Amino acid sequence: MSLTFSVALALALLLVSVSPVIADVIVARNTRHLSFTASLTPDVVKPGGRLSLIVKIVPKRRMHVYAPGTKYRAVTVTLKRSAWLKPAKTVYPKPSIYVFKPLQEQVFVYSDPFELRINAVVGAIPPRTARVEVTGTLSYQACDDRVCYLPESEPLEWTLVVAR
Amino acid sequence: MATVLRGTRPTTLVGRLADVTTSAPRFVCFLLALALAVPASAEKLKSFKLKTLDGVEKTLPDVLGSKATLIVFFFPTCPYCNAAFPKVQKLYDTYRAQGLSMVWINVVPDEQKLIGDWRAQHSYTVPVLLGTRSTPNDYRVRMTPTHYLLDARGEILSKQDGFNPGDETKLEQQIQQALAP
Repeated sequence: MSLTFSVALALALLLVSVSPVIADVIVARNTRHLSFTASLTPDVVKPGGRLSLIVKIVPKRRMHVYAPGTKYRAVTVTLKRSAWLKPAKTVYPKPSIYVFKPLQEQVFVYSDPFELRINAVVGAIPPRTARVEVTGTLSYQACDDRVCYLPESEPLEWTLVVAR
Repeated sequence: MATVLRGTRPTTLVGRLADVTTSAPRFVCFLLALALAVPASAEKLKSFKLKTLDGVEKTLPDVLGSKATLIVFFFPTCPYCNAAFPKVQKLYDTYRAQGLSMVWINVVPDEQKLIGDWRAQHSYTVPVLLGTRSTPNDYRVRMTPTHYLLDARGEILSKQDGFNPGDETKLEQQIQQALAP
């Protein structure tokens, strides 16, 4: 590693560690059925303020996951309860209709990229806390045009910088 | 997506052994012939000890039929399972008296509570066993329904993943073959 690159890397790491603005995308993961990112906005939260936790999901080719309103397992984001965060219900985008030929049934699905959003109010955060974590789970069950895969759960994690 | 796993069972070694010489190509041929001549042992399905809906423990030997057994891994809200099972139930009704045993194993424990009503709603009579969290890994179940057709000793005759209309015909043919005297 050249000296110039080492200095640049050290500076970048220093900037990231002291900056109140953290990267938008906190988690990016790729599964057999889809890829997803977890992000939040705004990057810096204040007690009493509002924030949105966002999970962007890209189903893989020919895959779909179920939207709420069908008898099948819908894609969900579940947050671990925390004293300082009051989340509202997950906001789902409009699903598309998939015709499940074997049962001649119309079901609500997501097969194109989509976003799940949880708006939340930030409650009282203990004093002198610089960062807080929100954890949760993305659960889904994917199918393609021949089989259904087993339900999956992926861990989610957001780190929020607290402004005073 | 059906995979037939039954082993190759050639007839005799005598003819092949007779013609072996020390020349390299022929020696290679001899080794190949030898490999083909050794009957491939069929894979046995790993045994299990799982509970019925009534809490009774059953093992694989407990559920093996006199001639063949169809084991299907499923969960109640699996769309393709719901498409397949009316037809699979029909196969059970048709071939049970001829020595076919069948069991459906749930692979999503948090859907266990749905099974009773689900069975009643569809009038399913195929026995159900309750899988555990490790069941999918234990039986290489990545998708549902996954069917294993076994012979009377629990050896795997075929494995079929998923279900599309028409698959029941293939399954029925395999069952008929397994039940044939």
